[in-house]
Amino acid sequence: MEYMIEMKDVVKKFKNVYALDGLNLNVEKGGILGLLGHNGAGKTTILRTILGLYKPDSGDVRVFGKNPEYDISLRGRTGVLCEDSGLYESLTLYENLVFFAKVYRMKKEDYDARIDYFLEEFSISDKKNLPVKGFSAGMKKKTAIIRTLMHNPDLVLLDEPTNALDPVSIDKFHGIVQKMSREDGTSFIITTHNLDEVKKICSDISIIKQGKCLYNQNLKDTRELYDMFETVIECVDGNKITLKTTDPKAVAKAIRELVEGGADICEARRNEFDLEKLYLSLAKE
Amino acid sequence: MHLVLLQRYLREICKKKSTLFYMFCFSVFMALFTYIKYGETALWLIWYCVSFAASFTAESFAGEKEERTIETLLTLPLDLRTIVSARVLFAVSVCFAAEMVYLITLLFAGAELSAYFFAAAFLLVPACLFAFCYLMVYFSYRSSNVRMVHMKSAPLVIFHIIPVVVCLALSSYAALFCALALFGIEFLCVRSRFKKVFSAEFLIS
Ligand SMILES: Nc1ncnc2c1ncn2[C@@H]1O[C@H](COP(=O)(O)OP(=O)(O)O)[C@@H](O)[C@H]1O
Ligand SMILES: [Mg+2]
Repeated sequence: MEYMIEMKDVVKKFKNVYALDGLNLNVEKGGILGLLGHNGAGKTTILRTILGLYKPDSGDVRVFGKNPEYDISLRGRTGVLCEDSGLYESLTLYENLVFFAKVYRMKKEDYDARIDYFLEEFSISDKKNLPVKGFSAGMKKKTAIIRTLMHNPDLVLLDEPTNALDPVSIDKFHGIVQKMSREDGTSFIITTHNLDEVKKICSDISIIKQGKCLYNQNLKDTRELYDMFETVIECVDGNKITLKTTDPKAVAKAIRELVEGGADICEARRNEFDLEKLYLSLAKE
Repeated sequence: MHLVLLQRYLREICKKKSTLFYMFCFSVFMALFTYIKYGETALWLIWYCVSFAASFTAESFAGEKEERTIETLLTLPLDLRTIVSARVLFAVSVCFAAEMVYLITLLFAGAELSAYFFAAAFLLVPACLFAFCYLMVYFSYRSSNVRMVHMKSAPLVIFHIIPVVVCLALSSYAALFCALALFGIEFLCVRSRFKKVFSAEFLIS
């Protein structure tokens, strides 16, 4: 298995808080990892450690097989969206993007084409030559997302990317992420509090609590694991029967037996995979 | 990479047209005022450049912290040392441009400049500026906002008026000696500060 990122037993301590406490995490090529966790769980710290901005106290971090602390060239292959948009307010949208494109050593033809493509996607072409100063939070976020993706990085780290975005733009953004992961093999790490987003686009999930990884699974496996979970049969009189199976034959048999027994069934539903429940149950422990 | 950064800094100050305009006017005014009042005064240049440089360098890291752009900047494929030296280079260049305005004004006013003046303008002042800017960028790196940098650096800026005072009170040779001593002290400070490496972790926490 080829891993883009490997973190092994990583510990990072600030004064008397363990921000990371023996964390293990792997990301495959082309994978989209959703990082979940409460505020202060250590998600941002994980991203900063991957970039080499924080030195871990112990443990091993490998990005593209190298140690990010000593090799800043790794950052050229990475796109990062921090919590703050990181744009220069006095410059225009285009001037901002050009600055970042040049730092990533892009050629003028390349970045002009990429910028126009993304501006079109997010329908903000008309704002190209306006200073960022007057932008709304959502507009700044869109600009920052473009900045993060325009140089076709191999690895993208996104810290709460969809905060402040409108639903249409979120959808566009998801489309772009999935396309890059599928066609270019770009790996993503996305921290978010939006569980629907995770369900929709992520291939893996990790649930972080107090600097430890509580749960780390492929989402397909998780779905199978939890999809198989239960079917609820509801009767007119309000009685509910929960079957710990979704096997169609078993459900049909149960319903037939109930009807023959005189029950008035008004609804039978298969409980969807519920990430929220999983998250809450794990986070509570 | 220095060029890319310098280009951005230049763009940013070009947006502040009024600042540039005041700088220009102030340079012309200072040149005429000092010339008419005191004749040839190379050492005014030190104090005058330093006071400009103070505002540009104070913004370097503290300004980015205030604008909340520092973390994103650090995620880019840029060495922290590159950012530091680009900031110093930028401040020195802008002040040098202001110095040129000063010089040209003097020439227009009909001043006859001696070799002593040129030596001061092209050697002593830039050297002093470099040392001063490095120290200021270091202050800016250590502080969380621009106001703090100005508070910390106020004594340093005021020291630079000493050569001017000495020049008026004693002689220009004593002043020159003073300026050299000042530069020497600054240079030693820079050396001791910069043995410590800059760290990204310090900047974002
Ligand atoms: N630079 C820092 N200095 C001190 N404590 C920090 C620093 N960065 C993070 N922490 C602490 O580490 C913990 C994890 O923080 P963070 O990674 O920002 O959480 P999240 O992004 O998941 O909300 C928090 O308790 C926070 O207070
Ligand atoms: Mg965070």
